[in-house]
Amino acid sequence: MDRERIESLLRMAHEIERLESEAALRPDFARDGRAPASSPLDPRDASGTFSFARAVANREAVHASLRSEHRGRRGWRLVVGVTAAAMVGLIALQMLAPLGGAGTTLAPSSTASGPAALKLEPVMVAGAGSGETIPEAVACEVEPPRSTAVAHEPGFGSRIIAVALDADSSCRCSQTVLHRWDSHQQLAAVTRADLLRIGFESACVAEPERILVVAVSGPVDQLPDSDEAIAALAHCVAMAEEGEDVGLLVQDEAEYAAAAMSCITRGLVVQAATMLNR
Amino acid sequence: MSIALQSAPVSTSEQPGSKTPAPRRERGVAPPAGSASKPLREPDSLAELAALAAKGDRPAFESIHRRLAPGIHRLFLERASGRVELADDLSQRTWLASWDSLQKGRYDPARSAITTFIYAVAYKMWLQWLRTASRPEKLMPDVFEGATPDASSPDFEAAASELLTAVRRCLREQGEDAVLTDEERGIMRATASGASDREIAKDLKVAASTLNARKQAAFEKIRRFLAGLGHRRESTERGSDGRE
Repeated sequence: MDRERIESLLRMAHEIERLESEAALRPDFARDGRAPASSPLDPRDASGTFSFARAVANREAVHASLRSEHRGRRGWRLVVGVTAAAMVGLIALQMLAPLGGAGTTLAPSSTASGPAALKLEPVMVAGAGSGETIPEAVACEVEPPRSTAVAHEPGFGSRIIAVALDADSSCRCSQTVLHRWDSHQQLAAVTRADLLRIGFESACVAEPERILVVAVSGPVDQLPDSDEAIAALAHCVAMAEEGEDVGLLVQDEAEYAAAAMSCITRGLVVQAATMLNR
Repeated sequence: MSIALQSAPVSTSEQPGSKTPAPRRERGVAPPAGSASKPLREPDSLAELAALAAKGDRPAFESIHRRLAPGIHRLFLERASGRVELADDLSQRTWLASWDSLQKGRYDPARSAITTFIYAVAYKMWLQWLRTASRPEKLMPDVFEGATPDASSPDFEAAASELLTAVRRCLREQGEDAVLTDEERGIMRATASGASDREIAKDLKVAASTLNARKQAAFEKIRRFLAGLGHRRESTERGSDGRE
């Protein structure tokens, strides 16, 4: 074993000692008599903080609870997936007011057919090959938005893919919206906050913990419009997660944008943004 | 990034343009059966907690998590250059994998401290992320390569934690049976904490060349000690790279 490796091991040993020192200073249940503030085995504590480890460790009870909750609230059951997103849901949104106004209002936009239902299947930890698993996904029940007539109008718009992940990382679904910007809106002025707000409002799970928004913007008539084109775009976006564990969004927003770039025509702009919600 | 949003999300079943707060989902479930009647007094040491957790004691695992989670998260934050989301994900994976390993009997309290074991799990998660992220510029040589099973193996964390335990022993032991002398141990600890050779030489009031010689001697002792325990880099031993 060479010197460089021994030095690395020494640094690791030092880090471990630091962990232990910090742990020794932390208030302990036995010492202060208070109930633990958080538990890795309860999905959320009183403050709403989520711990995935808690959910996994208690996954059977959590999933059973979620399943019965979904079944009772929704009329039907859909499963969500990752790589083969059939993005066909469009939600009507309000048009944004011109920048500088008192506030932005969203005007109804076009909608198409049902939701984006992605299949989420039991998975293995990527790259482990060790038999370790992450919990099976819970079926997400998503009702499709109602379709309305589509009115094609000139101007700029954004085809927005909003992927929402719930707090338990067990339900992941996506929606696609076509958002039409005000005719005076400049593409460059479309802000990250605008996209995230649309994504959050389009989220197909209640109380999403994470949202990924990928927006392809440009002349409306050049944006992906057909089911096939939207599905192809969604597939390209999903390629950014190739090799990642199912249920976890890749952290680098640029990777999603880069993945989408490979599937769009010249003259369109791609933006990606992620958001955590606690 | 984290944004606290006050408005309720739009339900997909709603009419376009209208917003109705979605029903709040119940979060949290009752503690696992058997834990509600747990006496208030918990084992105090990590070793005690680890022994219980290895037997499937969830409250014990909770205690370990409570004590070590912030430190593990901090380590990931440092490795991930401050990327909170990545640190969150990797931390969660670590605890998930740690719990699974404990349930599958891969942790032996007699062979390594739980802190060392969880650290090894965390390192494994980090390695796996680096590999799947396909970022050659961030790839680093696997410190354990050749001395332990591959990081994808379920035996990796146990072997890695044993190796780390052996290294920690070098840094802790004192007395006649210690691997290192007091001075050598001090030099290795200072090196491990990131002190430069110049700083260490100044503290010891020795020349840099003298320090280097003493460091080399300490490294050699550690290498022989690890080799004696069976921790060796096979490819190096066979001389495939021409070194050592």
